[in-house]
Amino acid sequence: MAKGVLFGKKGLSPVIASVLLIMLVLVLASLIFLWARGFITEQVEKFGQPVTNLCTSVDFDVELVEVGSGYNLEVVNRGNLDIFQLDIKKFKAGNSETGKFKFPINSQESVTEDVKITMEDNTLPEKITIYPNLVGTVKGKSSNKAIVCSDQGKDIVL
Amino acid sequence: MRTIFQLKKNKSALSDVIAYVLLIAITISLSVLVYNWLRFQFDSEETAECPEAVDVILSKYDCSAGSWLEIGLKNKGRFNVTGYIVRAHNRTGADFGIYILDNEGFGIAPGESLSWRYNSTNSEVDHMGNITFLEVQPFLNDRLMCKSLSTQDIQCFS
Repeated sequence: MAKGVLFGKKGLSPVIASVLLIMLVLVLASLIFLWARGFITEQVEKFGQPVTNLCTSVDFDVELVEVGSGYNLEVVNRGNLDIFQLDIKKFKAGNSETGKFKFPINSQESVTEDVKITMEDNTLPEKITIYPNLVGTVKGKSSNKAIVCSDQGKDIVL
Repeated sequence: MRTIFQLKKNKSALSDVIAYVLLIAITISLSVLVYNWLRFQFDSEETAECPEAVDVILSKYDCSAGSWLEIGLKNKGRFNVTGYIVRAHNRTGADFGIYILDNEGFGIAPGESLSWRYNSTNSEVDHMGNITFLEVQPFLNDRLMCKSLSTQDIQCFS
């Protein structure tokens, strides 16, 4: 009785089963890869490498100069990379605010422009930190994106 | 006993085959993802950097405010310098120069010195009037800027 039941059962050839399983694995792997790729932050490159790798090559100096009732920011770019703009982070009593210095400083050039450094309550901050921004191309796209070099900040104590 | 047997029989679970297929698919897709990300981060050419042994110093200066400025430079480093940038400032207490007096300079071999006079035909000498600060930044071939600077507070007042 048991033998009759075994002989009557139909099944898939092991070769075909293996091929089907492998194909299924590859298809599923591709689907999961395409889905997971959306969670990775877009990569920004410049000169064929991640922009963040170039941050150590940025060489700039800044000075805040009081002019009348306001301030000028003097910036010199001594490096080989153009600085797209500067982020100005202002600190006071544990709070911080960020502003932008939207003037590009090209390689080997300097810029002097007036800058607003007061906090939102119109008081002066205790300290400001200035970070350079580099612009790169988003990998796989034709758009540009500015990246902040957060390890290259310069502090100015007021 | 029968109830326990029936409970065990009625429990549903994922087929072993499907579980293995999913695991292998996830592993393959994640490994491809990580490989692509790591390759972008680490498979890049090193950026050229100026050797630390490059050293050009300001050995002397002489001036007549608004009229001429003469500087003496000496290469105390171990490398030929292709040129240099001379920057100046006219504000007392400046930490760096923002006006470019010379964007090219001359080549200086190790151990050599040179002097150069900038006359009032140089627009920056004429424009600045008083000069309070000088800095010299050397560069190598292809204008590879060096981080080593020679700076000097000077007194060149009319």
